[in-house]
Amino acid sequence: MASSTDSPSITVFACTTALHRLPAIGSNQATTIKRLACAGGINAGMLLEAVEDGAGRVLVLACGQDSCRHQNGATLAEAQVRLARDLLTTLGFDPGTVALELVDRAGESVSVACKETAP
Amino acid sequence: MTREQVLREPQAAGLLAELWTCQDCGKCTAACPVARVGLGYSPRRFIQRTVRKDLDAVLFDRAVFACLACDRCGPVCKSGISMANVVMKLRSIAFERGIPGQAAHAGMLQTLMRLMARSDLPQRRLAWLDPTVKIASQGDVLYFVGCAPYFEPLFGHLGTKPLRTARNAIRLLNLAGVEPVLLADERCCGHDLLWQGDVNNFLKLAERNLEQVRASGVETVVFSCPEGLRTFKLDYPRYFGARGFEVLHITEFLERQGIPRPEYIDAIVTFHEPCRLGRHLDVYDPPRNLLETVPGLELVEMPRNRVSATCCGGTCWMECGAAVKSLQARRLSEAARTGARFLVTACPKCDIHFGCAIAGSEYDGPVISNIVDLMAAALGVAEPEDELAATEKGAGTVA
Repeated sequence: MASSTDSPSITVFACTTALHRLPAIGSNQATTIKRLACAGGINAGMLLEAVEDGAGRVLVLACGQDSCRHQNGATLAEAQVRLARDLLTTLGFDPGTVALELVDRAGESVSVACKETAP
Repeated sequence: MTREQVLREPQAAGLLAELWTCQDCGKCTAACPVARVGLGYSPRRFIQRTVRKDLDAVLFDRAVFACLACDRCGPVCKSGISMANVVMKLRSIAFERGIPGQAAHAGMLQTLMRLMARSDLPQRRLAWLDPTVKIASQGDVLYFVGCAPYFEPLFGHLGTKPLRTARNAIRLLNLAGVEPVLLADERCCGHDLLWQGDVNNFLKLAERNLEQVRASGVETVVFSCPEGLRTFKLDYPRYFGARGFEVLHITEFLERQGIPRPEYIDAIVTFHEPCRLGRHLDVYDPPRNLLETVPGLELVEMPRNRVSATCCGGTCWMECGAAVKSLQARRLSEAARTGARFLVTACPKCDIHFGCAIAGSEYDGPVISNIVDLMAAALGVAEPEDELAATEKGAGTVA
């Protein structure tokens, strides 16, 4: 397990299509991008593992509801982000550590889904 | 790695001596539920390979992770070999060599456990308590909640309600005249990490739990999870010496403490033995004695019960595959053949594993009910939405 000092502070799990729409995002010292065929392939375990590996923030980048090539990627991703947030809340982490960002066809970030869960 | 190298590992102390007593009779394989459902696993063959061949193959072989550690083979072995102990030792070696086995649920449970092993963790794990349960800040009895606060969001979609069971456990303790102490920063007992082979993180969890329980000054720790009980009772002392407090399953504690007379429930039930509670800890009678206090309740045993009971099929969140599903289906069919209305379990993981087996299927067998929830219903303290409380209670008169 990597320590928090030698790990990037942001880990992005990104749908490849959504990533194409946001060309400005790229890996750098503070950001690690992990590509997925679809953000719907994410699971809460991967998100928790990123936190375990020292990420201060974990972002899931998905296509919007109406532009997902796999139809329901955003819905599936949101469920997993919610689950990760629930678990992180119980663990005592800030649930906002994990967030979901939806990107529309024009490459605009359309929303940050998943409200904070109550502690 | 050669056999000699593996056996020189500190975790393997005594392993060879134990395995050399194998008489190659094959009774373990005849008893093994995993062997019965196929996929080529055989404890007898596994032991012979471990003793006689290069252990590279054994460690890299999935067989070391295929064993459920249910100890079904233990009671039939004339040489007294415990496959559970054997695989525990070999898995710790395998884990150190980077062969951790196939984790179920994408390794999420293991990640959670490792996160819980951290020292600086401001957990918020008591948010599920409500005014109907009475707890104390100090006392003689501590209720070890276990991983229910994490299981609830993970497995609630299966119909299991581990937090309801935890609340019902406290209500039963309240009825028995006890307001238990709860730990706000309780950690996972470490059972699953230990059985996966991750001894280092297991030790961290164990240390934090022991430190807190000892600091609380309680005399008795009560568990509704047999895995937690086993870990505190058998595994913690192996690494940390005498505990300094007593540990009991909630059925043992309630039997000893005494509870009010339950209400009438007109139902046939059958009891599924958790491996950790039965074969590992030899606690067979307390759950049955508790069920017998309920007027109208008829306990019908499955053909494979007590020491010969089969496992719910899950162990330390690993290797959940065709063999496990087959085992679960067979066990559920066995329960259905008793004609029982309820399949009573005494372990939150049995609830989850059976819940998983029937999820999305056309299962119409017995309703799976934790003994804690069933007793809470019988004693009139179950939660209003509890199906059992609403439908089965009071269907007859008290004899």
